[in-house]
Amino acid sequence: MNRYQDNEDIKEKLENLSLPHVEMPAHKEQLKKMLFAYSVHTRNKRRCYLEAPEKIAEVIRLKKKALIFIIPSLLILLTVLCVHLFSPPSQAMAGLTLQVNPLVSMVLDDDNTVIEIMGQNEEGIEIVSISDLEGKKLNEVLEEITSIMFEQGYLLPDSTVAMTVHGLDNPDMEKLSAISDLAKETVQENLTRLNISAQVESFVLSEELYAFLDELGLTPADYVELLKANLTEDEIKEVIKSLEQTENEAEALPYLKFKLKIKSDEHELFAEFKQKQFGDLAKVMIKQQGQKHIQLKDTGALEYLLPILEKLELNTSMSKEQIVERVVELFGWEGPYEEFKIEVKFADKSSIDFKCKAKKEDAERERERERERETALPYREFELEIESDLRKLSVDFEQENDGIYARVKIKQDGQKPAQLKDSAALEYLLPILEKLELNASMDKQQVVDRVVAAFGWNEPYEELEIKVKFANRSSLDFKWKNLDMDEVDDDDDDD
Amino acid sequence: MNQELEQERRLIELAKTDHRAFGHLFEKYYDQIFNYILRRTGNLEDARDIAADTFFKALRNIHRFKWRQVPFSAWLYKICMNETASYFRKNSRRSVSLEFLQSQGFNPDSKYNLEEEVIAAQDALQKHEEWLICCRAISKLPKKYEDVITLRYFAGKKIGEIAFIVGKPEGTVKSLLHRGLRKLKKMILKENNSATFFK
Repeated sequence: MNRYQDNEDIKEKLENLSLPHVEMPAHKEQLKKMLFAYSVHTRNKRRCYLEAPEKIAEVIRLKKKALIFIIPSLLILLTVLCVHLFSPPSQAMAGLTLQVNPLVSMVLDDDNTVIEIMGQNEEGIEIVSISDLEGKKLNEVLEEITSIMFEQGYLLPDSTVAMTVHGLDNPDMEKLSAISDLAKETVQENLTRLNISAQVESFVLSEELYAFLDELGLTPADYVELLKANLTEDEIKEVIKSLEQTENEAEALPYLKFKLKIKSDEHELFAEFKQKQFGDLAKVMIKQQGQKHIQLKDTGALEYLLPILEKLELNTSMSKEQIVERVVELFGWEGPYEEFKIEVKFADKSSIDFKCKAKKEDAERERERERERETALPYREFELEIESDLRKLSVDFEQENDGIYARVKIKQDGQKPAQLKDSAALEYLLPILEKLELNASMDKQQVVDRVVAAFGWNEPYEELEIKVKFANRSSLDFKWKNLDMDEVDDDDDDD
Repeated sequence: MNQELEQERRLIELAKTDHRAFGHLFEKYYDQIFNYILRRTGNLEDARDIAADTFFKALRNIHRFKWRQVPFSAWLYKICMNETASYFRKNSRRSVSLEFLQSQGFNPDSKYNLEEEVIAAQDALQKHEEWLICCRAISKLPKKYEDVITLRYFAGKKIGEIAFIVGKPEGTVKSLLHRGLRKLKKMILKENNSATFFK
């Protein structure tokens, strides 16, 4: 008989179950595109929120717009001044963006000289600050930038270098194509020299298209990706519109502040969450008697709290009982509590703030019930030793008011002894003890037969020793030798 | 840290700012997550919606991910657990599903045919009769048992990883498994012919 017989057949069934495995390439592809479109759309928002102060992001956005509006005007003014000073003119003719993860944009004159270069994200700002690139020819700049990106670890074998060229001030499309080709060739050559197999893409964008992307908050290089993903302009607009709608519904957590404390004799849970403009604050503390306290802060605490808060769905029209029930369920609080305190401030300025104490006797009664549930087994103590030539099994089980102690040892000839403790031992023992159904009035043969069968001891045994104290204070205690069936000890007592 | 985990850690860091890196993670885990949800729910439409919700949530929260030497998949499963529960609970809140977006006009060109794919998948599911019996019975169990049993037997997760995913100690997971299996067995025996099912 197997020791886990209670669940063995269902376990075996599940382990050997023929499970379906389906492949959904169409769903996968669509979902990936949708995630991509969403990601591209929210990138700027997220970056502002998480990584850079709002103002920096605003400056970056302004700088981007300056590419289209301010720089050409300034350059025209500069050109006029230069003409007056008999210097050669430098006219902004095209804009070029290059994106790996770092995003860099540059303005070129009609001689392919880079007259302005700037990073458009944190990594891009870092890249352009490493070397003085303005005034150099496009091919030199691209070579330097890709080398820096490689050194900084941004260029990996599976990276894509996405470039776009767009016109400024009614440029010649042929010239823009030539710039795009030159850029692609230069980067490709440099990557080959660096022994990197990254992909290089370069596209020419019309001024209208550039303006459209800017309006959507997309970088031109993002558009390369969207084109590669076969998304049309209309599709991009549709998906972004829909996602904005669903995201607003799904993302808006209605709690500006959430503070909770639940306490019992053995456990304590404290959770605090505050929604701030530039990031959420969170703190969680879980104390459990006899165990190390768990304290979570910031990201860790948010990871724990957000899924719960998202599901909590509290509102001020709920009764205290409903709130307590919902909170206790979602925070996984098991058993009674002595103190429950909650403070919630909603985005609409309404609030919940109350404290309740469970009546001492209620808590005590609940604990008693818990204990009864735990001690449903009729054994207060169960000790067993079965021994054969090759094997020895020792079992030690004890139920006290403050918990259950369990240990199982198996010694097998020529093998390292195996020992199970606490929950592992319980997992092994509980199913066996539950079905053992011993009582003090049974005769020894009956007891031995049941024990041997329940513990799946199939081979002949030399000696069996058992001590059982039942919950009703009766007991069993004897040693049994199997070889000649002689009893060596007979102090079985039925109280 | 082994090389694979280190690569994954680096990819996750990149994915916090680079959607293409997230795309790699998506490619790596889509099949696993989708099939787990499918095995758990037994319903193709639900699985598609919950998988979409799971990856959206992961994308939205990737910046909050903190590396703790556990595979990224464990974090995804954690999200998946919440999204599954939330999906079946919420009636008013709309899921960010492909169906919804398609109804809004999002239908990008693809070399694959979604309808044919769904029909083929439905056919494939019907061939696993015993799984369907178990799946239906498991879905009637309280969620705590459903979580651990499906993670153990439908996703092949070890106790330690299940404990991380469901946020409970390993001992509790073992005990939940034990009690859950017992309940499951009773339920199956009640509703099916045990002689043939457990032969």
